[in-house]
Amino acid sequence: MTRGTLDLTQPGWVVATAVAILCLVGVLCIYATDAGEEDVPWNTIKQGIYLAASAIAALVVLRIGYHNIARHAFLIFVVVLLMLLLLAAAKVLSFDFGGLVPAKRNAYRWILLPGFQLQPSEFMKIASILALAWYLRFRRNYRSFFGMLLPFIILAIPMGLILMEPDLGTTLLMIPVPFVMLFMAGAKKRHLSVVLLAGVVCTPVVWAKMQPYQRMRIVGVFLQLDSLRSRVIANPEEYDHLCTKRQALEWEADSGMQLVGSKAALGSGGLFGQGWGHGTYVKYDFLPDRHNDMVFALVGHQWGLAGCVLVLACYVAIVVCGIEVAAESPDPLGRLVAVGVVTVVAAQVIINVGMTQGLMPITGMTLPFVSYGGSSLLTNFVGVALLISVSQKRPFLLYNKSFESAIEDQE
Amino acid sequence: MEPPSCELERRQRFRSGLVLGCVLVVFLGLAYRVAYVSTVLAPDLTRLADEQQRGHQTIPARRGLVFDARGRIVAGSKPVYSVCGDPVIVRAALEESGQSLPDLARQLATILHVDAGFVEDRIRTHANRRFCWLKRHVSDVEADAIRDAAPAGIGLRQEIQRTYPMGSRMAHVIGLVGIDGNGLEGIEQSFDSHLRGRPGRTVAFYDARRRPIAGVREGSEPPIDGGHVVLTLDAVIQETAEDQLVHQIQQYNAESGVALVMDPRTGEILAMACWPTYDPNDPSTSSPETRRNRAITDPIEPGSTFKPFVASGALQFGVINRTEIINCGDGTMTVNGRVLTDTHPSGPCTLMDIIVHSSNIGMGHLGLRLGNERLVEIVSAFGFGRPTGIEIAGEAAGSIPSPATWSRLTSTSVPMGYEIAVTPLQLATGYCALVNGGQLLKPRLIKAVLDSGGAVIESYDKPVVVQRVLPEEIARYMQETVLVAVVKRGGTDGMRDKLDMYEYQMLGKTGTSKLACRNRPGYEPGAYLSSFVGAAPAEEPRAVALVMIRRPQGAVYFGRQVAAPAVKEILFSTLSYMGVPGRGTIQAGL
Repeated sequence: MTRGTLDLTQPGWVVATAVAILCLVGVLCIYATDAGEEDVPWNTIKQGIYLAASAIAALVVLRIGYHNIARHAFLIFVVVLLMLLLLAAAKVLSFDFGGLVPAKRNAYRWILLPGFQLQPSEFMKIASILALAWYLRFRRNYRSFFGMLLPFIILAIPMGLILMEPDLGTTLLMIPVPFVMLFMAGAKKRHLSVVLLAGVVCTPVVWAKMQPYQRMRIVGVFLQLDSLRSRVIANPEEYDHLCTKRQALEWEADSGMQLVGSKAALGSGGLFGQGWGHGTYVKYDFLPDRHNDMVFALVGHQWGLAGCVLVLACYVAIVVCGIEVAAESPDPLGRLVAVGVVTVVAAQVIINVGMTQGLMPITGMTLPFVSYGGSSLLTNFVGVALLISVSQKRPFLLYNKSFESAIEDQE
Repeated sequence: MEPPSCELERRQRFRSGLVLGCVLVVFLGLAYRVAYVSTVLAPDLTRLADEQQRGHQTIPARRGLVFDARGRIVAGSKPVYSVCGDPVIVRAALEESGQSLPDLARQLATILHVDAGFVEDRIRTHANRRFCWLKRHVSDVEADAIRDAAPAGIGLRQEIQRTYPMGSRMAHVIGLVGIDGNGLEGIEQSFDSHLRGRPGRTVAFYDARRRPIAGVREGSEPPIDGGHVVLTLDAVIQETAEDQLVHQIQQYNAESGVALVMDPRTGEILAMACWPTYDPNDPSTSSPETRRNRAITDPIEPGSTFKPFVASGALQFGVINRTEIINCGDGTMTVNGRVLTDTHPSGPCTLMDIIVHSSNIGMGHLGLRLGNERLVEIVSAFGFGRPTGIEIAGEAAGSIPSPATWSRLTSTSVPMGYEIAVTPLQLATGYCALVNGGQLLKPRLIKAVLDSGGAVIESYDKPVVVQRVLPEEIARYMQETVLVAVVKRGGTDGMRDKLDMYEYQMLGKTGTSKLACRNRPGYEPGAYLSSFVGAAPAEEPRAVALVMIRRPQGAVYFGRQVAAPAVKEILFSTLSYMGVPGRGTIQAGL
């Protein structure tokens, strides 16, 4: 016996409700910023269209079921990989393929289709989860060290391509996915530790390979400490591996601007905020990407600590339900898909909220369901739909088994 | 070997719990951080963000106008644009567009008619600043071109430019302003705080790219325009004085010169002209030498024009009466052990003859009779040796030798106008006292001070009497008899004719002083200061005019020849202009 498409199960309904609240918060924020700038709330209208499209996509996913989708995991993975290859080619050749791959600030992240832009790195999140889950559903694939290494190698290819775009945020986001999925699948802790250690050892190499502006974003987080900043300014020679004296001096207007701005927007909300559509950060464009990557700061600005806690609680609900779905799923594939989705959503939230609070470097990272943006919305909706689809496969429980052994004895 | 399935499930649940626990801890941390930011950090962050977002833009105040005595504008203000840049934005925009800085510099240089290298340097040297000027006070055409081209990071800022519609006229009195509208010299400097006004400001918010956000105007203040100043100078009289001065200087190929016209009844300065001069509209082309207001900054040894002061003092102290005759010899006489010479032998002279013939010997005798103490008293009474207190800065006090340093020679030098330094203004002011009945008045340049709306704040229409320096009767004698005789009887016949004005009887005194050497004691041979101070009409003078020409070249250098004709012309034009009835008018019964 199977459930109907709209029978979401208990955890499924909780997840759907949380997602609905988050989407509502997002639309309210986008509408508030639209009101300050344009006569017609174009961004709100577009976000509404994206939401509708994403909801339809989610229903399609539910109808098909995660298993039938995961069946084609490798195909999907390859298709998205080809899109990333196109972007990488554009970047390497500095060629926009006749406007198909437009460069924005020398970054090639989008494929321009009539009417909308695709961000393949977003789709790669789902494609990776499915591919990993499809591969790891067999126990033998992860109990041996080399079998376990393969997922990392598979993932290394799209991560490398995304890094080339360049999109450091999405690359970093994909790091926890294989670890958590392998851990939940049951990989040996010893093996995981080795890979983790290898990663830590590689960090200096990555640091050296990063673009100066990418490094500056990370340094910018530390420069929030006034004491460090003044020390750099006083003895620039001692800190030349971090940044130059000029960068420290211009921190406020440069790498620190968004850090300071987002914290200020968040902080000036106080406990209950300035109210919907009120406050300078909503009305004026002080904070670049305020309706997009910085939307959490607007939540804090308008609804204060209370609003932030509500939003975080929605994510906690999704995470708790997601883990519960994974734990209850009798199917290894479903368990892995659920864990993967939860990991991606949680990692995005942690990075995005972290950067809004000045704890993480500023990267182009959206807040799932809240931030403006079609590709992100679609990806996260599909992800959650997969999660709910997994929950629909759980065994029926018609009653609570209070006295399990006794009843069995009677039978 | 596979572990049993219940064992697997137990592990599974443990791992799920662990992952969930970790995620929850992180989320709790995030929630805590939100609380920390919105309570503890909020005040500091709000202040910091406010500093980033709020910007002030000054609205320049209009600098007040300067009018002449009849309300003609001699210093005006007009709004003008200056081109400025934000080098940080310029660099960012160049990076984005791929244009090179030299390219942009060339583009701007073509529009602004400046050197491309200069523009490039400005942006390079201010690379990390948010503001630099590219060209101040551009023309409307240039401003429009910048507006059309609208290069990123380059903008226009409105400023107020000072203009002097009459060019160099009165330049030394009005002074000039710096590029930022700050008064540097003359009236512009001494009345700077009044003329300047107070700039207003708009408080604007700036977005993340430092573009001003329209419509936000909290805490803005309108500018308060500067007040106006009305001078006692009259542009028409000034023009005559300047023209006559320049004419004489050019004719005699002289080095420099000063012309002054004053109203002896009020102390108002009607004209104050200096040469060389400059155009305050284009101060960069002028040297400090040309900007110096020699009428107040340059004390000189006046020579014979000084004699009437000592002579009137001698009458006042009774060391001589009007009829006493002093033997001035045949042109050379040893007085107090010093050989004095007269240009022409004077023979026996009354006091009037001494002044008419400008006899050094006669003056030497008067000096000895008066004695040092009384000489100093007379000279000080006429205001010499201290600034007149005129309303512009830079005035020299001149110098009277202090009695302690007086040598044997000084008592005869001072009566001849040597060993004493006076400014042309002091001299003209002293003459005013001689011809107005004996009152020393403060010379004045300011008639009124108006507020920005034109209402009178302060009006200076009353003469300021410093002190009475002569009994009226003695002053009258000097004015009506002695100084008139100088014009009527002095010099040769040809010279006298030249000074004859049919309409008005002129009075005055000539002076031809030797110029002291710059580097050593003694006087430079062939270097003279030719001067004449005159007044008219003699019955009741309405104007005193002074002309001093320094270093006339050639054989003609006497003050009577070089300076006096100019004084005559100035007085004639001035009095006609002022509508003072002349002899012809009176005879015609008009």
